[in-house]
Amino acid sequence: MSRNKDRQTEYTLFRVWDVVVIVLVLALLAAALYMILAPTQGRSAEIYVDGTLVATVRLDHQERIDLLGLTVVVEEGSIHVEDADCPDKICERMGKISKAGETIICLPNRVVIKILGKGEVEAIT
Amino acid sequence: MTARKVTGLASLLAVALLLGFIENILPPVMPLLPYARLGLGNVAILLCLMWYGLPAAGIILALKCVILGLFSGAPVMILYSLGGGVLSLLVMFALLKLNKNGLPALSAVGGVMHNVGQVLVAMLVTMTPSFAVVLVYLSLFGATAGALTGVIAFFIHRILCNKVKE
Repeated sequence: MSRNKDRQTEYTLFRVWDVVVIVLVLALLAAALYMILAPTQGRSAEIYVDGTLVATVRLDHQERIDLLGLTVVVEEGSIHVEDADCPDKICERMGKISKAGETIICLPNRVVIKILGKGEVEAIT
Repeated sequence: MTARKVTGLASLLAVALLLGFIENILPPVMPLLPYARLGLGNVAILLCLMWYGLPAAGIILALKCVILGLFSGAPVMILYSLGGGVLSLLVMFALLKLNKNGLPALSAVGGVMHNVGQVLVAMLVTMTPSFAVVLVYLSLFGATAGALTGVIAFFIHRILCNKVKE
């Protein structure tokens, strides 16, 4: 086949390198998928007051939200109540939440913060 | 560009388009993945890359995507097929240059990259990272289809290579 003058490329059906390349691609793909899909777990939170949804916040940035008597802080994929004006401070002590389904509840202010589940698709409105 | 090269490129484009049209008409290969197609038209793109180099293959790829997209009635698909096609072509070009792989494996990697490109575009367009889940199934299919494409290209090359190059 290689009668042509400068034909260095001899095409073949199989070479040992094929195994290397295929394994490499599969590994890269798996790694990329893991990196893309891992942070989607609980990537946004819903804040309810009196049972009605007042805000949906994404958790991939830093944000301070003043809500009634609460100071809610979003950071590094988690959300927590930093300061509360109520006497019991239960919501402050609940600490940071980040996993799907976790909630912070502040009864005196009737505020519920809930992390969205990974399977839930965000509503497009 | 010689007349011989022009006619060669035109024939490859015609083959790619025809195969693409037929695939559009036929029912999906796998009922579970309706958007997964064999991509036999990519045999022509791969041969074009082997015989005429990257620039020529890029032009044929772009024409194939645009024309097929316009005729399939969903011009948005041009974005997806171009995204996949360009990534796939660049990776296959790099592997051809390295000259360490058999055609089926090279083409299988190209097939996977085609899926990666498409899903990347889809993720950007819809802004939903969870689209990446589809990639798991799609890339397995893409690798198989790509390997098949490579085998076909290998035999066509064996039959035709002396006629293509003077």
